[in-house]
Amino acid sequence: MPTSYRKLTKKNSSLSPSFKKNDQNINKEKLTGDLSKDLETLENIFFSSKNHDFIIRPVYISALNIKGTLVYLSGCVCVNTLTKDIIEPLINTIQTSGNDIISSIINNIITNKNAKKITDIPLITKAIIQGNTILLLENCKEAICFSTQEFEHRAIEKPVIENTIKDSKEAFVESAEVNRSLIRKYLKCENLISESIEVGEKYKNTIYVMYIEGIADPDVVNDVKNRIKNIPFDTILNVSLLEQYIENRSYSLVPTLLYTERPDRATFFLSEGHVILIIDGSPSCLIAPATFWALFHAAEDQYQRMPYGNFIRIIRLIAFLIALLLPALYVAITSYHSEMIPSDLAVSIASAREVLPFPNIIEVILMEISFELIREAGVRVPTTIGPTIGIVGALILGQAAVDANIVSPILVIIVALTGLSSFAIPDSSLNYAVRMMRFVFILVGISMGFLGIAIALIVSITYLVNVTTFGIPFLSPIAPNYPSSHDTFTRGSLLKQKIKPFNISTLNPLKRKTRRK
Amino acid sequence: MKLLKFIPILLIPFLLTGCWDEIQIEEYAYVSVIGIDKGTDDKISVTFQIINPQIGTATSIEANEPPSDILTFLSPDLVSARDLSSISIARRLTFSHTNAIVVSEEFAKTDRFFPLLEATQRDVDMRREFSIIICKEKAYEFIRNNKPPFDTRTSKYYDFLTSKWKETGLVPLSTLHKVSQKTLDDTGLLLMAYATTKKEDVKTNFDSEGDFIAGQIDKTDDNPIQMIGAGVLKKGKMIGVLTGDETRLSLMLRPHVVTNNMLATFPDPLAEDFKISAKVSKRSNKIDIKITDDYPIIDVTVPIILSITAIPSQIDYVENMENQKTLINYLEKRLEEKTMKLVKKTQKEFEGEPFFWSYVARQKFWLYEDFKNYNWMEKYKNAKITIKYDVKIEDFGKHRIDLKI
Repeated sequence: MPTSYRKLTKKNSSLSPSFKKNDQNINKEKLTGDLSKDLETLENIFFSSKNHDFIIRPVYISALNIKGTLVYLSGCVCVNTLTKDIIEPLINTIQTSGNDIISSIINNIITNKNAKKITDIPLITKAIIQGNTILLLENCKEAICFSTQEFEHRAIEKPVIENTIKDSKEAFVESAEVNRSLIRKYLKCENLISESIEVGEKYKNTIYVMYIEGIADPDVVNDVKNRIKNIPFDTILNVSLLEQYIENRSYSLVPTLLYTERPDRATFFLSEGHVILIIDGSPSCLIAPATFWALFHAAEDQYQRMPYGNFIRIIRLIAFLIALLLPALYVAITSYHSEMIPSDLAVSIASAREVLPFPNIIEVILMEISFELIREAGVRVPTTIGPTIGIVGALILGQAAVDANIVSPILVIIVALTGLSSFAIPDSSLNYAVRMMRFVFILVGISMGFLGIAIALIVSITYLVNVTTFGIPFLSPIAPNYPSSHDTFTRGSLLKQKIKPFNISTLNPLKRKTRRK
Repeated sequence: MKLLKFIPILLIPFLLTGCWDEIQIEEYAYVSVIGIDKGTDDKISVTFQIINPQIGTATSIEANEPPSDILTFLSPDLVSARDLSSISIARRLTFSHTNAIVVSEEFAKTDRFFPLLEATQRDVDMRREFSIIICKEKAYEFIRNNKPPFDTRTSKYYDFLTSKWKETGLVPLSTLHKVSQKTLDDTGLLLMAYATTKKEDVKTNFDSEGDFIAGQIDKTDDNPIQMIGAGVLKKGKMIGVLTGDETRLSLMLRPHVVTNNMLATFPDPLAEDFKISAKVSKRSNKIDIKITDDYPIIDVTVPIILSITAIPSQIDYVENMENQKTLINYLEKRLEEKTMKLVKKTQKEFEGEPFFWSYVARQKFWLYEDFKNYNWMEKYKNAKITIKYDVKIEDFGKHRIDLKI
């Protein structure tokens, strides 16, 4: 392995000089005014002899009586816009007024939505990459950049992960423009800022940072922006990778950013002072900072009426505890505390375990790993053979393992209940954290019984209290306590949710007018 | 490196504690009932009824085994008997799911009963919530004779049987916890459930449904067990027996409501041959105690609410207020008579009271020391006691008027 690795790096290093050379050539260069020379520079940059997508389209601007050339990358531009709004007016317009060539073209001829002057070669290169069309003109040191950007993406579809019964059925798609438009649809507000930050050393990618000026805490916004700016890597493809670059603790099980595919949810967090990150190519957005409650809640909680919303939250809390603790409690009870359970249950567990070959810890770990296996396989399996997983899982784990006296039927119930409960945790990061912590609890449960589980719980809670997400304590506004609308384990009626949580931002905290001043 | 430093810290708890207490749930043998008899010399004869876990659970393993194993042997005490049992039982015995201790009357009458019972509480395995049952015969006979038809697991049977005390009041609640609590201050008598599996002195001429002690009921049943009445303990030693009715009355005389909704019958005041049945519920008693140097003066008012369930004589008690008044007066008088008889019995025969009146009397003293010096148990023998019943009829059941045939 080392030799091939070395080979690879060697190969890479031999490649990179030419890349650099290309870079250096175009650095700080400007248009010369000589059309054929400028074209040649661009052809060199884009390797026009090899690159099929680099298109040069000559046009004759009849109104001004000069030659021009349109340059663009096919696949990034909208052909319709190009022909209708640019080529057609350029060729067909007969007369125009004005002295300056550039401004007369922009003001009088072109009907495209966006056009500007451009002179630097690097900027031109970037504009072409981003899907703009450049019009180079004969004997002119300036060029015009038309916005013709259009990348292919899916149409807006239903949310796949965060389903709700009530309300909006839209999810983000792989286009930052569409995603921002979705958010603006929900939040019609002049204070909604969407800043763009370019990251990536070689391949620039734009990250949009959205927040509401006057509500979001400037410290948090700056913190987020600084972290993004300081990412030292070549490129960032999507928000899942971005999350790992800017999160607080990379080794921790605790997620500090919320990943959501629902624009309505993103809007809700915006209005509470959170910051939203969007990247072209990700059908979701990141919400920073994310406290435990953001991860624990689902959109449905607020959409359903107050009693129903609270009901599902309490069910989810129970599911959370079951997913975390049930196998550990089983192991601890059957190894140390058989007096804790009703006699009938103790006797029936004992009778079921009497014929089994393994001690309970092996039994539990075996079943838990098998369940995780089914789950992982279920995600990776091609959909065409998906149903097989269910049959194999249900038959082998449920029936055959019991019949073969490898596990007890009670354990099957416990594993099934645990698995079911873990599906009720809405956020996938929190879900993973709980599932991994479960094994820790099982190990402490078998080594120290209830005492161990109690110690592990205390340590976990202490740790959670210590975690911060972009400077905000993870368990706030409960611990440490901040003024808020108490939207935590349960929620109050919407009319009572008067203030935004102070832990996120203290700017303009009132959600509604109050009678008293 | 940071992680490497952290690993030893993680390992410390494993060194400090460990899995030495760990024992798998199936390695235990669960004792459901413990029997204690007088053995030879200073030994006791211990009986363990051990549950067979494979019987009565829905497992696919077919086992042609008895539902429980009963073994009896001599042992110096109860806790060490657990280890001695390993001579034949391969599993580790545990008392953590024991539901009852059956003590023979013979052993309960010795001095060694209470010390033995109290000593077991130090053992971690012992629950304080299991019931103590005094049986007329030898405990091992009682346990062997008891074959509950429905409950394969005997622990369940004892659990159900003793939990009915609250509804019927025919037996008192006697868990280890209660027993040790009440014996602590040593100012009264203690009642314990009384049972037998042997029919003796069958009583056919009885006054009401509770006028029995265990063994006197003429019952036809495959399971010969009878649990009614109470064994009376004084200073941890059994001194007598109360009938079911007397047990009920003594529970009713206690300061707080302990039993409610019990069914009772009494003769019809206007038709000698018939009985009236009613559901009896009760409010808290008014107990007024005056302390004098020689004896306490105790006035008790027992408020009782009746819900009549059957009037077989078909006499109109519902609309005829005159009749109603007769009924109430008759009941009050009858109950007072019966209660006074019981009170006299406790004063003369047992020389102590099982009614927890000492709790009320205690409040009359500034210091607990004073109360102790007063010597309540002694003074009670000469106490002047008046008991009044305050009977109210709440309703007459579902029918208002009987159909005249």
